[in-house]
Amino acid sequence: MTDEHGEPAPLDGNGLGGVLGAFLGVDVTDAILVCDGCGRQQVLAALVVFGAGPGGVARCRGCSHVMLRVAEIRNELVVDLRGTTRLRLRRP
Amino acid sequence: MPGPLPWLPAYLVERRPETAAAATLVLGVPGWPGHLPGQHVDVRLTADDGYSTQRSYSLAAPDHGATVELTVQRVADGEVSPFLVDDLAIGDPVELRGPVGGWFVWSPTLPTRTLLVAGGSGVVPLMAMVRARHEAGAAAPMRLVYSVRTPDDVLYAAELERRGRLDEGLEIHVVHTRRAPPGDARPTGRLTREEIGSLAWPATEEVLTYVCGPTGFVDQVAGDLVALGYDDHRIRTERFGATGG
Ligand SMILES: Cc1cc2nc3c(=O)[nH]c(=O)nc-3n(C[C@H](O)[C@H](O)[C@H](O)COP(=O)(O)OP(=O)(O)OC[C@H]3O[C@@H](n4cnc5c(N)ncnc54)[C@H](O)[C@@H]3O)c2cc1C
Ligand SMILES: [Zn+2]
Repeated sequence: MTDEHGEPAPLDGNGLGGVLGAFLGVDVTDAILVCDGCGRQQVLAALVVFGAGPGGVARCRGCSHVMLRVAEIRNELVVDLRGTTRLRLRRP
Repeated sequence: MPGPLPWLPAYLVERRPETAAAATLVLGVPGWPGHLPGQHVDVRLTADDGYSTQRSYSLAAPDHGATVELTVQRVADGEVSPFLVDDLAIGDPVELRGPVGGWFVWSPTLPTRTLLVAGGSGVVPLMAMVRARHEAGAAAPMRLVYSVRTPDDVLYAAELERRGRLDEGLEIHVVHTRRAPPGDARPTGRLTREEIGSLAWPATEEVLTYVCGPTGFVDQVAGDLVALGYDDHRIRTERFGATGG
């Protein structure tokens, strides 16, 4: 999607909740991730996301470092966490 | 969330026009597990040739069992929203995955003040919070600041007017960016930082804030709130992309 200036308008990590929840069985939008680039702590919901729906690329809101890639490919979920130092999940 | 989220078959039960560009879809979803205000669903449409596409839509009403309500605003040339607003017929199937979201959620049992800031169709999940507060008879103060282009674009206009008048502790402020109703003292234009400062509680109070709407709007408002001294950790955001201004 693009904004009024023709630039793509990113979503945020809320939009990845469906595909992640479908495979993991827990909501992870409130998981806390630490960025490998700048050390910033942020919830997954707050990441800058291009894509969503069946997958996307999530960047740090502080330094734009890629922290997470998610793809649903047929019956598989592929999550690439290069760029994330730490992922903290609360017990459901 | 109890276990992996499957795609659930759903059927259109009722369509309620909200504005010229938006409609509320009431969908029957057998086996719907229930949801919280602020959560959304992924909607999947599949054509006869097998092509399928999905979009996210917020749940507009609190949990009422096996029916859910979505309010969709048409995006010109959009792939999915014009179909949902205009063409999906009563009884037609769609698939839903949800409820989705564990961070952008609100509960009527929260003891704190809640500030809601909506841009365009971003009011949809915030309306679920306003309605849930009403149904629970919750007493904690809530304020909704709703930025919209013209009076004709206000979603849930009559209900918001009524709730603002009757629900104790609830304040509704609608601001117009392109055209205001006759007699409105506010000049049309975007919500400014000063205005947010005057409509919000002082940053020294304990306030939980939810901001939702087009990405540019949400980024702007969240930045303004932080500049006004609001704690970043007490601001929850949800971005709809370019749509819904
Ligand atoms: C978590 C979440 C919740 C959401 N909840 C809701 C909701 O409750 N109600 C709702 O109506 N939407 C909601 N959305 C937005 C929704 O998911 C779709 O993005 C929207 O309906 C547009 O989809 P589309 O297929 O019609 O348009 P697309 O086919 O995806 O886009 C069509 C084209 O229009 C452009 N475009 C998009 N917006 C505009 C605009 N405002 N002006 C001009 N061009 C534009 C795009 O760049 C694209 O080129 C939500 C999104 C998210 C991530
Ligand atoms: Zn970073």
